[in-house]
Amino acid sequence: MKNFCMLLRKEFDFVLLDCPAGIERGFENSVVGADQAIVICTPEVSSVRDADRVIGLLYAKSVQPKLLVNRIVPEMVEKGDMLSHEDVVDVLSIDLIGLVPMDEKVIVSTNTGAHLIQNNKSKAGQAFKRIAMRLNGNADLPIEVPQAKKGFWKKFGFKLGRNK
Amino acid sequence: MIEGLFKKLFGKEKSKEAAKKRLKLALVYDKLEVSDELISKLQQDIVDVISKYFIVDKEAIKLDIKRSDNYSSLTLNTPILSARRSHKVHDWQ
Repeated sequence: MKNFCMLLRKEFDFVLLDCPAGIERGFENSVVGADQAIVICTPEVSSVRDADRVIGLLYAKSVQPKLLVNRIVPEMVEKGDMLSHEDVVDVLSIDLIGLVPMDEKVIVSTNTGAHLIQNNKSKAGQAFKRIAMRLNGNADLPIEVPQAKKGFWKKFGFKLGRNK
Repeated sequence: MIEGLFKKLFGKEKSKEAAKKRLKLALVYDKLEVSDELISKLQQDIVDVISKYFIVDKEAIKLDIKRSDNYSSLTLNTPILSARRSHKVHDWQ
């Protein structure tokens, strides 16, 4: 794996190694050739717990990982029914590289094979784009926090629903 | 309706607070993962050191690791039968 990565290094500017979930051999294999790491978690207890383990293992290999919080549902965060990215960062205490909102278009784009980044209407796609820009030297690009949609009627219905 | 308003004003515990608490507790456990073998080795070492200075009831020694939200602690309970005289420390060695 190490030798293979050395070969790829000569050919490409970026090589993304997709690490399988968990901390078994697949993890060891993908980490051995890596310079940097992005740990991806969702705002759920089990996912953050696993992320903490992986971060610990990466530190042990002297890799400084960055955190990506995926599948954020802003409406649930607002209601207090989902951990916010601040909560996750507070628990894991590492730097963020991006926040990606929950987006059905991700599934549609994997179905059709079309790149989500080219879809200007997709919030997740735009978040991916900004993360890619950050990786490509634009490290100071501000991180956008996914916001809940707020139409008047939606807000009204939301309040009625909550008082049930 | 009134009850709902009441809850809204004073706020019930949100599920994310529960998640955060559970998460923090889980992480404390993860970081303190120690095997029984390690605990018994530690106990043996501690007993050896204490026995230099005190005569203790080795059977009654209890070693515990306690974890809570904010801290974790190591507790050792041992009945001391008597102190060893200082010259005896050398004899014992």
